[in-house]
Amino acid sequence: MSAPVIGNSSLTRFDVLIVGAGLGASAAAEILCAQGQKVLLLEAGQSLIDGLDDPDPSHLRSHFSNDEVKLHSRGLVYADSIMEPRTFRPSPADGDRTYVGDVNGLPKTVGGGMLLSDMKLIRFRPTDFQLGTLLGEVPGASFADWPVTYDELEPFYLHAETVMGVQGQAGSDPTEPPRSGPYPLPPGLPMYAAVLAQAGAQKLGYTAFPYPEGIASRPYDGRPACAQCGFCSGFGCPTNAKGAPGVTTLRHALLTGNCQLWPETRVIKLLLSASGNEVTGVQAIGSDGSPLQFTADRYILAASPIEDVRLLLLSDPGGPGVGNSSGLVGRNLTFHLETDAAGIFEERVHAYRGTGTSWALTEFRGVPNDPARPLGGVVEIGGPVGPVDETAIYAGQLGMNGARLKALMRQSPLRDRVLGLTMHGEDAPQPTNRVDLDPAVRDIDGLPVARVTYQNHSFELNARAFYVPKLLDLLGAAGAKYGFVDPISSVPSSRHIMGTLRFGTDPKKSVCDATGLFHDVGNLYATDGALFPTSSGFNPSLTIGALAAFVAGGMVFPGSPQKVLGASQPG
Amino acid sequence: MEPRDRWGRWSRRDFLRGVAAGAVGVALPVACGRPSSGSPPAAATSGGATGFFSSEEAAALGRLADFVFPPDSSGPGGSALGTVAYVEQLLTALDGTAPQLWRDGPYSGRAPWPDVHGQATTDFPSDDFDDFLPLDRVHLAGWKVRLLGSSAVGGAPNDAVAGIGPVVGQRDQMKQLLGAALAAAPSLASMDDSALVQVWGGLSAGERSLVTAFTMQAVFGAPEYGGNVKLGGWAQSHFPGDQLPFGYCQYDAETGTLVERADLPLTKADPTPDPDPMDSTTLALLDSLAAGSGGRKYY
Repeated sequence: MSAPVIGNSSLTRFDVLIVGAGLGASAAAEILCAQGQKVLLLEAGQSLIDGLDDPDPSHLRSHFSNDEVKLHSRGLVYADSIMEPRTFRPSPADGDRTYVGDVNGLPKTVGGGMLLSDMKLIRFRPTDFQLGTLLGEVPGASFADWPVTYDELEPFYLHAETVMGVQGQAGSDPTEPPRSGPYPLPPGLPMYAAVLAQAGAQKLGYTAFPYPEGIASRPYDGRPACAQCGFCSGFGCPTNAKGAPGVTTLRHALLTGNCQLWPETRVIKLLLSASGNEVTGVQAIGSDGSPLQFTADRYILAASPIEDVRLLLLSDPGGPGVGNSSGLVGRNLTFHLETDAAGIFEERVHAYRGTGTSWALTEFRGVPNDPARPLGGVVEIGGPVGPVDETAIYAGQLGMNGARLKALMRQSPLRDRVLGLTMHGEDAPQPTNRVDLDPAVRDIDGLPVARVTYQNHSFELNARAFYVPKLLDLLGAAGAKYGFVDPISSVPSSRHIMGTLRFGTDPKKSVCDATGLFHDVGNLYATDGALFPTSSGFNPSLTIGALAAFVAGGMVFPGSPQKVLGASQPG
Repeated sequence: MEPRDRWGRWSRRDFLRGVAAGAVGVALPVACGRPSSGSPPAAATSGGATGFFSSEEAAALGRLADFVFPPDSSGPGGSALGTVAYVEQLLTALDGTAPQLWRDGPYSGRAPWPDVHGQATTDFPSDDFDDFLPLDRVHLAGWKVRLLGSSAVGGAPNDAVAGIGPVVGQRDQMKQLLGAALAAAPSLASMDDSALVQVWGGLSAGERSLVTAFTMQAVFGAPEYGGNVKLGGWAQSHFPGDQLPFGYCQYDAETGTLVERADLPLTKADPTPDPDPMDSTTLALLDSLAAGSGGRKYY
């Protein structure tokens, strides 16, 4: 049985075809459709929110729920680890692979990975766009300036905040960059653990502030205010209070009548002109396994920095990959070096209630070239979730069972008493950190899977070592009885995936140009995190949304992308 | 190179998972597998609800579930909380005309709707968890292999790759481990914990992990999956369970303000005393973890 098409099913000719339906895809579609462009989105995952193309927001119906078994134990919306694995190795010296399974797995669904995030939408800082110049040569790393500035992106940041309904408090972040308008929503209520952390931060001279989040703190754009159910990070929103792409950018695109979306449709190959410098169509596999082919005038890759690269390589079997005259397709893959610290309190701080992350610190972001303040990243102040996940620590990792396991679940030191801090450290880009195709491992359709080759640079490891004691100090000041810092995961698990198709002005040093267009392919763009030359130290989602709108704006008004702004704002 | 999905997806919110993993070699104050203080449960006398397990297998699994999560004065154990039913439902999830793996949403019907002032009403949503979501082509194929094994479905994509395949299905894994346990200890279902330690130790690490993970999912998952009978798992862990659509914070449409609950507040400490403070053994465990992982003890 084929999955039903969403949106205007009568459209038969398309100006733009987008691979993916996550944030980068839908933020571009929202701009393009508002400008009258006919857009086709092809998404490999299922659609789990009904009514996306219904003008009445009360008809939105989420199939997500507060259900750990469905989401975490049984993998709803994640790529199946048997049928669509990825592989990993730290370096080529480690052989073809050291791990098979879930590597940097983003949820695969209409609306993309953000559906399962807690929607932390914070802006990069002006210096984040200039680290190539500011840092100069860093041995082994490949820092580069972005070909756009913060000032050029600022209107698109505001647009993305408005469309997704970001709550926040302007002026509360001591390192906040300039902004041309207020947050559309005020902050919601903080969780108790964050209140304790805020007090601790104050003792140490830091400023904790409400995290900018795309979660409705008041009714917004036809969606309800968040009930702070706690099943936020790692869960889809049952009420659609999260301003995730499905119910914001994508829905706006669908409601124009200019958009058609095919879920459960896996694009497996880009078809090229004889010269190889133009995409003429795509091959796909439909929801029932049948082969499909689609065409449009222009094409956008927005299936994630890992899957974008996989598609480019699959489209040029035996060759270097589509758009790869630079040799950089797949390279300079970055994540964030996530440093997770947990404070355990004697009292129950019940951080399983709330939006997952209430507040943030930016003092640990650091300053370029200041050895007293190395480049770390924003610190999230939040907590853990449910008891099934909690058991995985006691029973899975510590091997507990019997009366002791039961006592631990009753006393809940690692759920009900935990305050969590996560620092998203800047990840130095390295050409050797890359995505390519595994030589032997295949997916359900017999196609090579993506292989991640990755290891950390001393740049981020040194920053982590610098800030770990400060994170522990903060937990102590907040009143924790114990403080812990998780070791770095042996297999990359970050959901912050960037690089692989970096954009820039020099075709020898970048894959895409300053407008997001491939240097080598005249009608192929990228609009997701793959474009990022550097990772910054902030959650990438808002910048992905802003950048996608910027690229889409340039597709409509070359040289003047900002002309598209003002259309399709929430009513 | 076993996929990391036995214990579910790794989440950045699962704090301390890595600390615990790194500290497994640390001398812990409590030996794994120590017998519980609870009495052995009465042996089950019939097979599981779906008939997948024989009565002997169901009784054995129930007993192992109680070994993992024993009954005691605080509440029932893994058996009475429905582990056998949970596992049978999972292992037979593809036997019918439609897969029965992912419960629908958004609401279970356990929590009420709010009124315009953000207060609880007596009106509850229907139980959407009663229904199941369809699986797409890829997930359906994956779950067939995961449950039935490569051989039962004509092979999985990477059966020939060293270190990956072929996949032994969870149905066969469970049947084999229960068969082996019963062969080693025919009276398994009525053994006390001190005797069961030997049987448990005779299982492979993977088999122990599978039984434990299934027991934990049954005890602490949503009850619609067959476990967590009468919400007994959540009650024992002092977890309120799914709370939507009421949640922990509501919007008062008349005043335009946010309202939190008095019984389960969001921004402040609970109004009631801690029902289960950390005991000396738990504190010793945390002392050990802190010492073994470079953590800190502040006071």
